[in-house]
Amino acid sequence: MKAKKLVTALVLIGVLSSVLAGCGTKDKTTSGSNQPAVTAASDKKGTDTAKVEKIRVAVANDFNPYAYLDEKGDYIGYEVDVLKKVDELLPQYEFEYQTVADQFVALTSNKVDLISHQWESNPERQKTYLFGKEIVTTWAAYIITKDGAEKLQTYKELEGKTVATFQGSNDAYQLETYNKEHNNAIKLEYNSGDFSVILSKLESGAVDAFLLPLSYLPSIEEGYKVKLQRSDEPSYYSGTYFIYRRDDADETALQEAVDGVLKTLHEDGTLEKLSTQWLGADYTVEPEDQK
Amino acid sequence: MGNIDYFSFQRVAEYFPQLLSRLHITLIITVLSLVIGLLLGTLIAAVRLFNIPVLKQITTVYISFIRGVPINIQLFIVYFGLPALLNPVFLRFNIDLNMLDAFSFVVATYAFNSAAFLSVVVTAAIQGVDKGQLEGARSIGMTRGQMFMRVVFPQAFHIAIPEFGNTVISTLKDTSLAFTVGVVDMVGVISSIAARTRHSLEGYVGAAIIYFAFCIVLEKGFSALEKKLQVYK
Repeated sequence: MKAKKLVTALVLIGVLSSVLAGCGTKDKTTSGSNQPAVTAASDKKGTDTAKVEKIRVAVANDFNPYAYLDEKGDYIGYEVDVLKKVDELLPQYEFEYQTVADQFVALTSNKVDLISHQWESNPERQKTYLFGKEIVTTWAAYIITKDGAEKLQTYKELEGKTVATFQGSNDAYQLETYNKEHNNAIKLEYNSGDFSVILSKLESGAVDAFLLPLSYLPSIEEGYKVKLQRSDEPSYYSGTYFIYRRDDADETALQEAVDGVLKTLHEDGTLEKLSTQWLGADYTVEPEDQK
Repeated sequence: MGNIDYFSFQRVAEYFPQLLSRLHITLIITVLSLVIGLLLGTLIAAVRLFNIPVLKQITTVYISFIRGVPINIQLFIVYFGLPALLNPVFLRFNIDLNMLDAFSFVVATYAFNSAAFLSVVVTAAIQGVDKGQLEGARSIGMTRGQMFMRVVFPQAFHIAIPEFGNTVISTLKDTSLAFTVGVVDMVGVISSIAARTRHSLEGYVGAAIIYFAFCIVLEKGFSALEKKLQVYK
């Protein structure tokens, strides 16, 4: 008899805890988002009573100044603010923000509906994903060297030098593409973690240079209290976009709606204002105009 | 370019409260996984002890899989693979597993993981009770239920404590990987702090202190419990 009671009690605890795991701690604890809690039950096709469609948006939580968490655990940053403005102008959608492991895998496996992480477009990515047509930011990437060191101007001058980069990033892609045609002339050193590692390697001379979008330079210099110098001319131009699932009618509709609103926000100066506020200048103009 | 200000104890202290404010998530994951894991693990142990054919072979494969695959790989398999595998079934009942957040998948992973380890602990503990005791119990006319509750369980419980303690401690430490699927626990918050302040080492040192303190307390607690139950021997 006692054994039975014990088993019943254990089963009860199990059921209770899985219920707790399922909903109780859901919103606040995991994503740190300040969006209202949404239960798993409110799925898209279920009921037609609520016309507002929930859109699961992936944002980073450690990507200052684009998307990160403040002390209270709320998402802030340029991309977060742009997404919030877009959401305001689209009454048919309600954005929920979350951070996911691998944004591209999460998108294709249907865990999220829109991803944002200053994604640049390249032919390989275009084949697999649906890119927004309106830019989020534009980029002019420069070659960065230690202040007072020999200034490096072009990829040609980088030959024989060691350049720090992050695995899977677009500047790694650029340098790897160059290397393919030039017999691996540039030594690439892959890093992970935060920028302080790269900066200390630059300081010690272990690496000679790295590539950085102009929009990111002031926040690096200010954040780490360092002085850097950049090449006179940019090494490449780029734009960043929101990305959606391919071959999915709902997603195409979402992309068109978001693009429509982004265009308005671009034209009425909202993006310019947000960019100046978060990035220190207007990085929504043509990249050729960024000096 | 001056010296980069890498580390200061002052910042360790400054970030400490922010780490503590996320400690409950680490602990909830640990406790939930262990509770569910113990239930599942007991079931698996029962299968093994009663020698149920087919099921027993499945549990053997399961246990060696969990033991042989790194926990961060298990996390990704559950997080991305489980919905892909089970959604065709669940969608019929209008449940979309992709609507569950990362937290649920993290708890599921650690529950599956600790279930494997705890099933071994439970099996070994029950097998560790001397056979002669069962014969003695039967000779004085105890029922199977009485035998389990009065003879087997108390002794098995005592045998299991040290290994159970080890599993608790390693599960607690393993949860430090939950951030890789986007859960902002005590470790996840470090990268947010680093994004804001440009300093991460201080956060890691703070987390090390907290983990270390918890493990010391758990270790002492379990060995005290073991001593206290010595009376059963």
